[in-house]
Amino acid sequence: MIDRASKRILILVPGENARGGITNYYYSIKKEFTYNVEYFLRGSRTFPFRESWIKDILQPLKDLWRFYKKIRKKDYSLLQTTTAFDSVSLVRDFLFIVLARHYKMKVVVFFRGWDLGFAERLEKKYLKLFKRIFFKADAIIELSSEFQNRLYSWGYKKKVYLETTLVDKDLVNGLSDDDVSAKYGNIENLELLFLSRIETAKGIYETIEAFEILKEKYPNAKLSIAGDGRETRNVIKFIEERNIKNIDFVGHVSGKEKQECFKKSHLFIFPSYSEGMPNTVLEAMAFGLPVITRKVGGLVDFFENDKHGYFTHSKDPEVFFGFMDSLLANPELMKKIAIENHRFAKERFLSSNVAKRIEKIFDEVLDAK
Amino acid sequence: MCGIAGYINFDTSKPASQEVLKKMTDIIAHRGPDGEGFHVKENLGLGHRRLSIIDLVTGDQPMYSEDKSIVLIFNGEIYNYIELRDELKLLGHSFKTTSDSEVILKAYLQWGVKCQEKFNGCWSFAIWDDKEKYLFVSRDRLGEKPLHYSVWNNSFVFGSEIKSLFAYGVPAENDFSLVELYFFLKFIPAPYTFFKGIKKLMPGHYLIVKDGSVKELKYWDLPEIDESNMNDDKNKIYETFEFLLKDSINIRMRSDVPFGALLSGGLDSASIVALMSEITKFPIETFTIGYSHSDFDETDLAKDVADKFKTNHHVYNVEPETFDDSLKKVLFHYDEPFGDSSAIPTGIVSKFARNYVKMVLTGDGGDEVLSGYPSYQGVKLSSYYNKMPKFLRQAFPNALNAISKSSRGTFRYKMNRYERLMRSANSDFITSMVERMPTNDVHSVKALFPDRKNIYSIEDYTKSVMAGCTYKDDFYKLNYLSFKLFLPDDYLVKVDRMSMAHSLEARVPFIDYRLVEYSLNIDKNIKMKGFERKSILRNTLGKKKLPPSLLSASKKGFRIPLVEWFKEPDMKERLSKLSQSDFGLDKKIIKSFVDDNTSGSKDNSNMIWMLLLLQETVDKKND
Repeated sequence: MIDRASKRILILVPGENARGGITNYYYSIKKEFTYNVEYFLRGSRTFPFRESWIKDILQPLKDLWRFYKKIRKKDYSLLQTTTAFDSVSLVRDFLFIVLARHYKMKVVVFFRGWDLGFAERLEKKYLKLFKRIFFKADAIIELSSEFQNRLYSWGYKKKVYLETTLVDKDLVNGLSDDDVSAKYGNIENLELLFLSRIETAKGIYETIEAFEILKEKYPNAKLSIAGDGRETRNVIKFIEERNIKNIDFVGHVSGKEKQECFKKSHLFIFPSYSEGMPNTVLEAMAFGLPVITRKVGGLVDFFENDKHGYFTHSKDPEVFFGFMDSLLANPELMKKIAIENHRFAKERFLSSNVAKRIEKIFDEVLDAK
Repeated sequence: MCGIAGYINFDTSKPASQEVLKKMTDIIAHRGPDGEGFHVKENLGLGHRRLSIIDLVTGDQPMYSEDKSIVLIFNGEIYNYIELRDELKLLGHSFKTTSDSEVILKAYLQWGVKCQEKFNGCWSFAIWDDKEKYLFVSRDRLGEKPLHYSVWNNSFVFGSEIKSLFAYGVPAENDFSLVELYFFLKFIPAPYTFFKGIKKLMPGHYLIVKDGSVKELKYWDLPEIDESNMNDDKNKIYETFEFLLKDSINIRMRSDVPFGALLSGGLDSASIVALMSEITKFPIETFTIGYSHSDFDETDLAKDVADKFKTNHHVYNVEPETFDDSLKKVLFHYDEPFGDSSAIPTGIVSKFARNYVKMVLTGDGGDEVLSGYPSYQGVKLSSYYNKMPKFLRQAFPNALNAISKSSRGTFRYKMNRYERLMRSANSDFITSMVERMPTNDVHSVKALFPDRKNIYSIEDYTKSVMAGCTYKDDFYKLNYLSFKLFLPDDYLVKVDRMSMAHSLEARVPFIDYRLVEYSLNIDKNIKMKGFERKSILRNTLGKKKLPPSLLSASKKGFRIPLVEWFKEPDMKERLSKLSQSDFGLDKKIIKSFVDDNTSGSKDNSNMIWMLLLLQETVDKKND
């Protein structure tokens, strides 16, 4: 039996200025850990906090130096990285791994977000190099079985754990089945929600186009866009050019504002092009919203049509409209999905439950010889 | 499937030549690369190219009866051959092979020419009966397999493709009286070809060639319907439809070689895959082509289907072929002008699928059987519209015209479309159909032919097709026209030539004749609930088995980069030559088509594609 409190664990997480799913994940889970977990903040997101290019280039070197100083006394037992599967993240994190192994730390790599094009290139040209560094990890955590299988097919011999992202326990605290399903009794003015960074790859344009079609049939329908991002200005211009009414820009939301967004909405739409395991979808589910999304990342491992909402490979706005239309024609189904999603998300994605699973992984890794 | 060709000299003293026959079959070797066979005796020559699908060992052709008095060459498949073989065995026949060819032979021995009525399949075949001294040539009910023939130089000459007749020596004399039909329909309809003296055997018909005469007879036609008593028992219809479609797929999965399905991302092909996956325990090979232009790309929807039914899914992202490659392929494989540009992607997906399998099932024919084309919505809307008082019917299009003139963009386009729909609703069936046929407006297409003396008009031709139709309601009439004209002469020709071009057999479960006969008797409000296309499929397989995304997606067509091609700089000279060349069409009109397309004011690309195909056909003949 491991004495968790005596083991110090270091987790690499994005810099404090960063926004998005990964930051939220670590913010929510920290209070649930029983291990002695410390976060090592490294790097910074480019939007909206970029200060200068020079800082961006020097930042990794500064981070590494800080990291070296932190671990050289061998106080830490395990390093967990948070690594996106793209060239920049892999190059950045491999240096941390090399250093950690030098100082006899166990290493767990948590891959989040795969750049598929990069994975193809890596498979053809740089697989040996990748394996030499990352396959030294004592365990790997993945968000989707597709990538789990890919790592096994590349020859990784240790365990690849399948995990999910999470929903902050405090966000849905006290929410009952009745709370999430009552609004589907009589939908007068449909409220549709998109909550994510505003970027083309998150499917913001598909959302707006689907909403435009929806409005032909449901003129009072409203779309709330919550979040900010590089594409915001272009999106506003796009909406103005097409003269689409009833779209509300809420901006970045968290805490109570976020709760309100989810609570007042009837449907959640998220036609993202690529994801690891989108937090925003899990949160929407926890609030009981039927979800309309794409077959991306870890969603394919649990999401079912008619049970959680609808998902597809397609990016066709008409398909998303069709999903919304068929749900709106069937309020009973929406109610059923609302309860199912709420219960499912609480059981599977609540931060306390996710933390338990992650700590079990740490147990197994630290226990192994 | 295969290719067949042959001839019979009416002068019995003039012997047939294997050398000539070989030329006729060599030219269609793509239809059957697995083998060849000939029967040459006295004045008769029968040749065959084989693509082996069933009975790979003993199914060679020509096939003979035991006493050698009956000789068969056959292109196609008889899907109910197992049941027929059992029936024939009970009647005392014995079989040496497991092939469907032998079933045809024995069925002919048993039932004579009535054997055709027993077959469920796609075919064109020729049987020489040495006792009766006649040649019996048959084509399937709905026109899946082609058969062309000519009486020339005191001989009867026939072949799966026109090029076999040219190889024999039949001259390629262009028939310009048919150009209006070509520009309205995009193809030359049966029984005509673009060449004088060469005909297509009509679907559901057969020929008896005896003593120097050729008699064309009909053995099957679309059923009569009682419009006052159409089948509207919804639940029973859903049940029967599913049963018939599943059985149709089941018998079409009979094969001794690897097979799969073309999966477009539409409802029809997805339904085929859904039922195939119920019939077999093995994963199905599915094939889709993708386009860079996302408006026409259905690969994502196809992936939804592949996920759901756990198929071995293959996606090929199409690189646009060059203009010359496409033109060359279409001219070679169709022999005559064939302007349906979706032939090009059909060829590409066939070539791709052939890398993995030898036979595929396709979703073609679903729009005909289920009345799924948007034109059925138009016809139904017109029928409601026509119930309004006459003064309103006259006022509405004028009002829309006035609104559209003072509006812009997509709203104007929509107003124009509704106006056209309302005006055509005021016309009789034939006029409104003719108005919907061409890619450009009727008047500018008709203006292409200044000398109309010898032109066979589209109105006269459509009237002749509809002459045999006893249906009263326009919805059912459109059904009739689809089965008589567009299905056999456009869609099935397209699929046959492009699949055979790559030695791939394509099977079409939706047009099993039992399903066709059954569907024609179904009430239009069951087929189209409100204005919902393909209600039967949506409410049966759609809701029960298919991914929901398919039910939401709109219908998309194949696309080739015609517009882009014709704007390329190196096309300039070619298009200018087209405007100047003299092949009986008005040069000024051609020039206006080209200029409007180049300037971008109109999309005339389909019209230019058809003009270029016609010009090349004419030039080829003059070479």
